[in-house]
Amino acid sequence: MSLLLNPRTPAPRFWTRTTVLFAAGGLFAYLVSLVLFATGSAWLLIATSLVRLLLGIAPAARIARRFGWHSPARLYPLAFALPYPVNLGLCAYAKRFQWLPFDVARALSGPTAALTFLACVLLASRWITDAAVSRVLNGQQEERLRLLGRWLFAVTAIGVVLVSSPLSPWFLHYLIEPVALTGYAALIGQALPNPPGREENPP
Amino acid sequence: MKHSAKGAMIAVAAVALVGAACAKKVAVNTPPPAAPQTAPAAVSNPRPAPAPASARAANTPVARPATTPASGIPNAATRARIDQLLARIEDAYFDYDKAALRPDAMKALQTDSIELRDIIAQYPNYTLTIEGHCDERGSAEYNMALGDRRAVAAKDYLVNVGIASSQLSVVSFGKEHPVCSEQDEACWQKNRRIHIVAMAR
Repeated sequence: MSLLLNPRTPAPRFWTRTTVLFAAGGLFAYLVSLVLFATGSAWLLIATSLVRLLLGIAPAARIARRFGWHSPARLYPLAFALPYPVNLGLCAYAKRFQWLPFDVARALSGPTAALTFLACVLLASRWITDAAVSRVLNGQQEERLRLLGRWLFAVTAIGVVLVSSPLSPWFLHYLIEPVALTGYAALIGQALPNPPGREENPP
Repeated sequence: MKHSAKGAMIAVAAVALVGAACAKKVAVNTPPPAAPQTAPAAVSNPRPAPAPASARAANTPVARPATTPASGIPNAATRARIDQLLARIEDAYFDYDKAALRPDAMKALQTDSIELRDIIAQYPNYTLTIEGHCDERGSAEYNMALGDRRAVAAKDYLVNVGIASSQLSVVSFGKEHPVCSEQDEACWQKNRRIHIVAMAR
């Protein structure tokens, strides 16, 4: 009876042209950051890790707005996002003797300690990124954001525990990190408001 | 969402505090101040008094006492003796991309390790840390694992000599702490090594 009274409306599609465009922006951000990380500058590494999601998404948002696919939205909180910073974690670990007490840094020397440290950095970054992305999403797609976070947590755990230690950072950096950036960017693309009269996902 | 940001900051601060709080070990590569002869721990865990200092004079082989010293931490003279022994134990060197001990590495570890074993056995709170090092070739992650394997190989050897496994710990520095920065085989060979240091728990 309730089915007759409340016919179930189909869930809106996630992958639309806007979502795909933003996902491409996320992937672009990952590729640009690979080039910038290769310079070896620690400050550039920190700055890139922080703003790369914004750098990838801003052009996508500009394109989408130009074609009238969505209305403007504030993106500046993304400047403080820290999406899956594998290189930053590895750099912080490599320089641990410069910012940790000597005996702590020494005790953290070893492949297991390195992976544990990296996993902690990635876990902490997830909270920071979720907070920044959530401000842009403005209350939408919260469930999908949580789902993405849980998925990243699970895959990171698998990468750290099951993949052999020399390959773990490679696995996390070259396989999971682009997926993370693409996922965050696609979520933002999905949540941006459509202009009045334009419905990309008609019921 | 403010709560999430605050939570993240609190979590990062907590991790930093936990890391700092876990600092227990004190490296004794640099000469530490002389340890007090009576340690507070001896009150809660009474043990027989240590052998007289004269019995542990430097440059003389140390006879293993029937009982363990009270604090479990060697006094200044014994520490100097241990450091002297460790200085005599040369670094053990490895082949490229290998973690197996070469005959010359075994010989380096064998020298004085028996005497070191006898001294270390008296001090359960004292540990030897074996550092594994690599040359600059290869990724940081790979060298971190290779240095660990080298340190573990040396640890296994020292356990076979008779040093208690509980008093041996390993760390790997990968290619982070080279002793030589040239880019030739002679220099790389110097960097592919294990080094032993003594630490109090």
